[in-house]
Amino acid sequence: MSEKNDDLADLLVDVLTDHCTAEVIEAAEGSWAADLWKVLEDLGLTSVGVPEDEGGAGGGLADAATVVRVAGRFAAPAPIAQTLMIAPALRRRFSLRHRPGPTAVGWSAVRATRDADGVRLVGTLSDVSYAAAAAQVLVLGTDTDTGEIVLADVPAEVIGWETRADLAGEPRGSADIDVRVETFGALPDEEADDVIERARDDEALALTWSMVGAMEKVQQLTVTYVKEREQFGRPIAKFQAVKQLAAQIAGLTAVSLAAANEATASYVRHGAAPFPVAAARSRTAAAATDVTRYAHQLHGAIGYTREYPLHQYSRRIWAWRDEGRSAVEWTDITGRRAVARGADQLWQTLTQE
Amino acid sequence: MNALALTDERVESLRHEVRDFLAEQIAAGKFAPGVDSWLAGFDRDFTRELAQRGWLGMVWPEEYGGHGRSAVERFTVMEELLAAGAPVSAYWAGDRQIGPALLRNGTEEQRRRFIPQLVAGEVLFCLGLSEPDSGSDLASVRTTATKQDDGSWIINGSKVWTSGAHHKDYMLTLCRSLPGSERHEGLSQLIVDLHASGVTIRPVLLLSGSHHFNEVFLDNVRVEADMLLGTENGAWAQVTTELSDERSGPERYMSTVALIRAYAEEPEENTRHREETLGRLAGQLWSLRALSLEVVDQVQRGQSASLLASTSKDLGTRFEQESVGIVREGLARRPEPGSRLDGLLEQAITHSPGFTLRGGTTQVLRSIIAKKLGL
Repeated sequence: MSEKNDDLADLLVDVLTDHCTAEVIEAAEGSWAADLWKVLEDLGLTSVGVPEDEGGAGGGLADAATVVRVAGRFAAPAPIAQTLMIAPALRRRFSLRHRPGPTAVGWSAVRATRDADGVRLVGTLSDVSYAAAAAQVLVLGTDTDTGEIVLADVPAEVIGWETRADLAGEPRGSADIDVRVETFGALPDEEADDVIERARDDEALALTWSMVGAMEKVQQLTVTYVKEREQFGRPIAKFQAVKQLAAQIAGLTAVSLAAANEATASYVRHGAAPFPVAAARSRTAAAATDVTRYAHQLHGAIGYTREYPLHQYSRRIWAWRDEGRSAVEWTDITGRRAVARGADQLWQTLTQE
Repeated sequence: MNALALTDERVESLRHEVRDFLAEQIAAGKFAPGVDSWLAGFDRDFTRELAQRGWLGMVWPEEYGGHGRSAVERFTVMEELLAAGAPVSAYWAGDRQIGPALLRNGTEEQRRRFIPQLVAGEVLFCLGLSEPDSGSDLASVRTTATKQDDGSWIINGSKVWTSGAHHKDYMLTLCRSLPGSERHEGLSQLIVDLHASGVTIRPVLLLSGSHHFNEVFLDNVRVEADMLLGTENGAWAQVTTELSDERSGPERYMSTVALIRAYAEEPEENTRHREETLGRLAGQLWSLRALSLEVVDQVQRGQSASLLASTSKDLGTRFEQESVGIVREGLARRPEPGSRLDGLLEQAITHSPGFTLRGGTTQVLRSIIAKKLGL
């Protein structure tokens, strides 16, 4: 990561230390931290990665990833990954303009019917992450008349959400919609399949960075705890069994970070990185799951309580590993993509920079 | 931006050069891809072939006969050789540890004498570190080097697990050179000629019955004064740096790549859970490579990579072991006896206990990582 990214990360750490406290996270359970969003928005941090001439704060994908990573480290209860790493590329691919404000993505396509200058969308949006927090929702629709897929920027106030909290306490919403909007883009069916596949890759990369951030925090909490907690007359960090597990947490976090960095760099170089993204996503999901197990083991019963903050990160990891396409699906996708160019091209695919 | 693009292009063209060479060698029957080929694949002729192409001593300074290339270029050649399961064990330790140690700590005369021979693949070195009573606890070495009036040394003791000593020319030997010293004090490194009088080499067979390791007995072996490497009685710091070199390379996660590639090429009806199996193998391998590249990047920029190197080796060697089980679970039935896959699998199964032992055990590495974490 460049020096620019380090500055950006430092700024975010400062802001989130002040505005994303344990109390803020706890209060946002099942909802979201609108005040925090306002603070980040005023600093231009909610449109990092969107070019300035499109109304964003500038920077590239690696910068957006830095924001998402640090947000993961702070369990920031806001649709940062969606707004910074999924929505911008999806809009761009459907030739839609950037819009400021928290954005959610509805992946389940509804029925779309086009008229002279708009599109009517009818159907059900299912389990949309951070739905109720969003100022607008990107809705995919299938227009069977024209054989096109549309992407519409739907203002959230026209949608009546039925909300629930997932296992991480993050808000989700479902809604039956029947709306007409004029802000939309359309692509032919077959082209759209590819575009949606790439958007799923964007989601995967965003979740990878979110998990990396959460793992970093879990590592930090665990290292601090085992140094402070005394049993048998000394800090438990003095016991070999404890050291060995703590070392594994650090190792798994390091390999996930390296994978996330490499996938992002490859994506930036080529504009897409199907195999690296899948590999990083599946590796990180497995690593993060192991990390939560070891961290809870080292924290003992205290880490199992609502009061101690470990669960804010472990619950997120447990939810994020299966968010969108699940960890298992990504493992299969990784396998498919590894030999997509031929069974004898595995190594060549792995080393394609 | 341009400089980076140029570098990338250079690396890619080197990669293809190595790939083409390896494909030719395999086609000509010069070697068959093997598992753990950086331990098991000894081939002097192949080593000379690599040397002729400039793939030994790649990053060493040109003034000593090295090729002055980048760490990324060297990494690229190493990983292509390992991915092909090529027989690289003859020169591996020399290229990885001995050359760098000579360049860091050697006298001008030692560099001028040995570096060009290492680059040419003509002189082969092994490492004399472990002893029968000194494994993970390297500071307990007992082999003695006694200084003579004329400055030469008389060495007594024995070294064990010395890979390929029966084929090699020299052993860089860690000795206790200060009588009565303990632990990290009073140690020196001496370059011992394995053909000298008083040297006896006996095989230590692996559980598979194959001969790679040896015990080297040193009975009043005389070593001239100019064969002391680095600081007299100050070798501990030298050795720990060499161990860091030993831990960070791609061979720490690539020992089973020949098996993984063979699995991918199996007919589909011989496999089960194929996508998941390939996903687990490829996802882990690619991620470990990303981590290893970070180590290369840190080394290239002159930073200490010892934490990442330990991490990379711990995760990498455990992956090597796990990969054998993943492949077995991903097969519909046991491979045809005598088939290529069967041979690679047998090699992998019998070699796998060593993966997480050599060059620092899992437990030692995790202790190092924990220390770096402040625990």
